[in-house]
Amino acid sequence: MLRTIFLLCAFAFYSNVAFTQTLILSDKLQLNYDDPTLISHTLDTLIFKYKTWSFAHEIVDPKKIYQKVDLTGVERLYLNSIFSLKEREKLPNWLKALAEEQAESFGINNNNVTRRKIDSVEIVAAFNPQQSSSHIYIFEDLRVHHLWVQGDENKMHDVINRIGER
Amino acid sequence: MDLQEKEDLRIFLASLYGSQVNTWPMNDEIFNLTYVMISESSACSDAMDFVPRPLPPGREPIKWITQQAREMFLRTLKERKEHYVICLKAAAYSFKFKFLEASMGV
Repeated sequence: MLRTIFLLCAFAFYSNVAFTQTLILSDKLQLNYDDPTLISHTLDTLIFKYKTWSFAHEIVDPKKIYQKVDLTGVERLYLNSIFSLKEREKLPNWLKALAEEQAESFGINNNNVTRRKIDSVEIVAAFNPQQSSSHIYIFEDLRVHHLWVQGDENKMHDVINRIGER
Repeated sequence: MDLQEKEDLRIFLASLYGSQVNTWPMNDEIFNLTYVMISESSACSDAMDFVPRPLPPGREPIKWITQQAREMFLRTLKERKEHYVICLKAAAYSFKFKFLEASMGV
């Protein structure tokens, strides 16, 4: 009897516990995530799906941010400028206009940009309440990561806080 | 959607997202996302002149718009895709992951 109760308790415990897994982002960076309901892989994007939310990861390809616009060489400045008016001033007019439009589409205003620094790595993000989603960029020396979170603002902060050094 | 509508939608989305669209199913969810993306983009509102608005809350665009209006909407998107590629750049980038999720059925 006791053994049955113990087994039932153990089953109940393990069926409700989310185990943490690790996604290696680079030789220096990782993202810890709870077991998702499913993982999907498109051409260049990993999607982690949960019951009530999801997130996705891609490495930014400056040739593929927009069709027929190659941002190679200015991708860091451009992506930063979406979140910063000061950085936007450094862009040529046509790119500044695009950054403004992108900031509006991301739902960015003066006080909803989140920043975090891990050593030399810079993280910048914003939550868009209209779309219930967030865009997070991680600027490493050798690459830029793009994370998208479909869920409330707490999920965005949770994902950002789960990024850490290896 | 019939075959022509699906083809119009694919040609339009390929102008925004490139050749990866050839691997996406052109289904109701992709159409609904396209509708929402365009309707939420203030820079490209002229595309919505071809469909009745506003969409009642909770209604799926594919089930609400008549087939005739839908055909005209998709044909216009295809025929004026060069124009919409410019005014939808930012919105398309914001919506990319939603389209990727929908394309995988997740």
